[in-house]
Amino acid sequence: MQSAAKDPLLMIAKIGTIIVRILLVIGQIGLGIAIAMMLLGTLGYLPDEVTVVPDSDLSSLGLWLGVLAMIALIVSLGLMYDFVRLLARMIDTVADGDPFVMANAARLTRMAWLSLGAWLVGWVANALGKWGEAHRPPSEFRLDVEFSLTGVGIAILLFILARVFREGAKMREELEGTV
Amino acid sequence: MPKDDIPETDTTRIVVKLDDLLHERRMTLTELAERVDLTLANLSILKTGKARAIRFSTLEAICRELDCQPGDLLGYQPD
Repeated sequence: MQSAAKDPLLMIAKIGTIIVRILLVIGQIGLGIAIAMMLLGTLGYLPDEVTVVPDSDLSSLGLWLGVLAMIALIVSLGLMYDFVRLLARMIDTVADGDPFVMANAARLTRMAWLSLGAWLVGWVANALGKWGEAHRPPSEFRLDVEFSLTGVGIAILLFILARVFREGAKMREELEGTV
Repeated sequence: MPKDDIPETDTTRIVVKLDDLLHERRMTLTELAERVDLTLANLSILKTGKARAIRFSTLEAICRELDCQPGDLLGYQPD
């Protein structure tokens, strides 16, 4: 059994998952605040000095496109948070010296679905961005979202890894009780 | 699955006669465990019939130390 404290790789991975989760939460909170300020500012509830976008410069459609895109980003960050949380649990099992368990196979499957979900949300945000840029003036709406198939590739890889871990867990179970 | 909680479908008709052999040889389970380089826990699993499989290397070591044949150690009990 290799505790995370004695294994540099596990320690770095564990610290990394903690930092990433903190940053994801900060990101979600920041986006939430931005959405609130945009809406409140547009509705005139905020002084002009703190309004993010003066309502005269932003049409209703452009505003809602921006809000929808940010909501999509919040959802995406939430999915990534769950992904990293599951990864942290798997790192713990490695530190315990017992990674080939059915629970890890289930975690990898869930991580694969989360990866697909995040990719899908990103696709939606990209589509919103493309539609917005096509129908609104550039000065009013611009959303830079990169579209790639990396998320799909990661999902497939994780589904396969889940199968590997499932077989590994079965083999480990068979070994248990062997003297 | 906990080692002491083997479901009905996993019970085996193979009988391990380690208790009798140890008694005949006047040897304790602890002594045998040390001689065959197996943990006492694993040897207890074998003795109580809870083992699912035995390696040839383990079988060889036990037969060597107890001066017996595999058939002296293992038996088959039909229904």
